[in-house]
Amino acid sequence: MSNAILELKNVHVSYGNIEALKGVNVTINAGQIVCLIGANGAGKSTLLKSIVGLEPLTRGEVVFNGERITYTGGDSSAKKDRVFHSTDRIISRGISMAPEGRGIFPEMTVLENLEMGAFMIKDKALIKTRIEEKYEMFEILKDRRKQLAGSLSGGEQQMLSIARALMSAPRLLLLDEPALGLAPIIIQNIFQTISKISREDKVTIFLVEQNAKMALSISDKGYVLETGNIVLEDDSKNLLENPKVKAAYLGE
Amino acid sequence: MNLFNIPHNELLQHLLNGLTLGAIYSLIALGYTMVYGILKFINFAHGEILMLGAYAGYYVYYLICDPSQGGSFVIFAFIISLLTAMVISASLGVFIERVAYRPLRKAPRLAPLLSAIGVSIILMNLAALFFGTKSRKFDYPIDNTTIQLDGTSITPNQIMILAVGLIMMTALKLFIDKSRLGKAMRATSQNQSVAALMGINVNFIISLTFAIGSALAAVAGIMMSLEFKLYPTMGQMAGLKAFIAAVVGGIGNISGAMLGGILLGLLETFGVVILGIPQGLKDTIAFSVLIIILLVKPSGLLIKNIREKV
Repeated sequence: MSNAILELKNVHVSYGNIEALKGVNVTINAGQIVCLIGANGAGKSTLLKSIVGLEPLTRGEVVFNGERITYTGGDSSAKKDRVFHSTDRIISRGISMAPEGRGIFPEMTVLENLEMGAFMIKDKALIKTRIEEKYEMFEILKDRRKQLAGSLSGGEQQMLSIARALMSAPRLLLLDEPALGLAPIIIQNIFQTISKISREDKVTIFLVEQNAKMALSISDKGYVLETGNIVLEDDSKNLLENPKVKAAYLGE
Repeated sequence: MNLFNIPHNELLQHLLNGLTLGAIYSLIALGYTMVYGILKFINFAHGEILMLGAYAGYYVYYLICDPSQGGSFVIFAFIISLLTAMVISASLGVFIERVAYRPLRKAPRLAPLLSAIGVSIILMNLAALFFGTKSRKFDYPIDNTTIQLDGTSITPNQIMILAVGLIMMTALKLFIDKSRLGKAMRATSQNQSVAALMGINVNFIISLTFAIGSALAAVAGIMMSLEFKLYPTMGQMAGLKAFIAAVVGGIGNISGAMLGGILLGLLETFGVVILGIPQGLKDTIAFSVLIIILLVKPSGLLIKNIREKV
C-alpha cells in the first residue's frame, strides 16, 4: 500500500486538435508538498483543471484516495467504463483549489467569499469556527471582512483565495500559480503561509508555479512539465541542484 | 401641460398608477436580469412563461370557485390559483432551460438567443391553439370598488398589486443577499467555474434561477390579467418593456431591475400626462428610453464598474 492520495495515470487533454497534455503521470503522497513547474503554456493549469473536472480528459485516469474519480479509455473505449463526475462532486470528496488568477468573487464581501468556501458544510457553528481560524491565520482578512473582495490588493486577494479553499478542510489543496503578478515581498509571505498550512493543518498540497526557485524550496517533490509531457521528476532538493533545471528555470 | 400646473391630487393619482404599472414591470424584469446575471443570455421566452402562468392561474381559479359569488372562499381560491400558477411557471421555466438552452450552453451566444425566440413563438401559438385568441377577464377576488381619498382614487386591486409586488421583491432581495443558496446564486453569476470549485452544483443553481424568475413572472401575469386582460400574446409587449426596464436598471443587477421597472412605469404614466403623448403612442416611451439609456449609460443605472485587480 502506497500512501498516495492522488494519482494521475496517462492523462491526456486536448483542445480541438492540439494536445495540451500528452500522457502525464503524477503521484502525490499524503502530507507532502508537491510542486509542478514549467513555462507558460506547458499545460500546468490544464493539469490542475483536469483533476477537478473543469477540463475533460480525452484519455487517462485520476485516482483520489484510492477511488477512481475520472476515467476514460479514449475514443475506442466502451462508454459504460467511463467515470465522470461534475466538479462539485469531485470537490465534495475532499479536494479544494485556489484557481489561477485567484478567482475571488469580486462583488461579494471577504466574509461572503469565505462562506462560499464552506458551501458544502451545513453546520453553522462549524463554519463560524473555521472563519475565526482563517482570521487568525490571515489577520488582514479580519480587518477587511466587510469589504468587497474586488477592492482588495492582489496579495490580499491571493490570501483570501487560499483561506477560502481551506474553509472546507480539504485533504488535498491545489494551488494554481499563487505568486503570479505579486511583489517579491508578498510572494515570500505567500510561500511561508503555504509551508505553514502544510505543517500545521496537515493538508497535502499540489502547487503549480512558474516561480521555480520558491516552489522547489518549500516542496518535498517536484515535477517539470514541458509542452504537455513530464520531463523530470525528483525530490525538490535534487531538482534545485539539477543542471538542466538550473539552466532552464532558475536562471543560473 | 407641465408638472407644476397639475393639481396635487391628480399628480398623486398618476404617481399611484405609475407605481402599479411599475411594480408589474419590476416583477417581470427580475426574471430577465437573474437569468442574464448567470447565463449572460436574454430569455426571450420569459413573456410566454408569464402568459402561461396567467392561464394556469385562470383555469385553476375558475375550476375551484365562482368569483361572482364573492366571499372569503374566492379569496382563498385566488391565493391557491396564484400559488399553482407560480409552481407551473417555475416548472415550465426549468423545463425550457433543460431542453432548449442547456444543450446550447457551449454554443456561440447567438444560438440560445435564437432558441429562446423559437420557444417564445411556439408557446404563443400553442396558447392560441388551445386557449383561443379571444381575450378574457380575470374576475377580481375582492370587491374592486374605487376608494376615494382626497380626490385621488385607488382601487383595492391596485393596493393588492403594490402589496404583492413589495412582498415579492423584499423576499427576493433577502433571499439573494442573506441565504446560503442566494449567495451561491451570486457566486455563480460572478464566476461559474470557481462557484463549482466551492462545491456548488452550478446546474442546480441555474435551474433555481429559472424557477424563481418564472414564478415571479406568473405573479406578474395574474396581476396583469386582473388589471387588464388575459390573451395569448399578452407576454410580448410586457416582456419587451420589462426587458427594457432590466436594461435601464443595469442588466444582471437585481435592485436595478426593480428600480428600472418602477421608473419605466412612472415614465410611461407621466409621459402621457406631461408630454401629452397620445395613449396610442404610449409604447414609444419605453423604446425611446431604451435608446437614450443605451446612448448615455449603456451599462444601466445601477451597474458599478468594479474592476478586478490583477
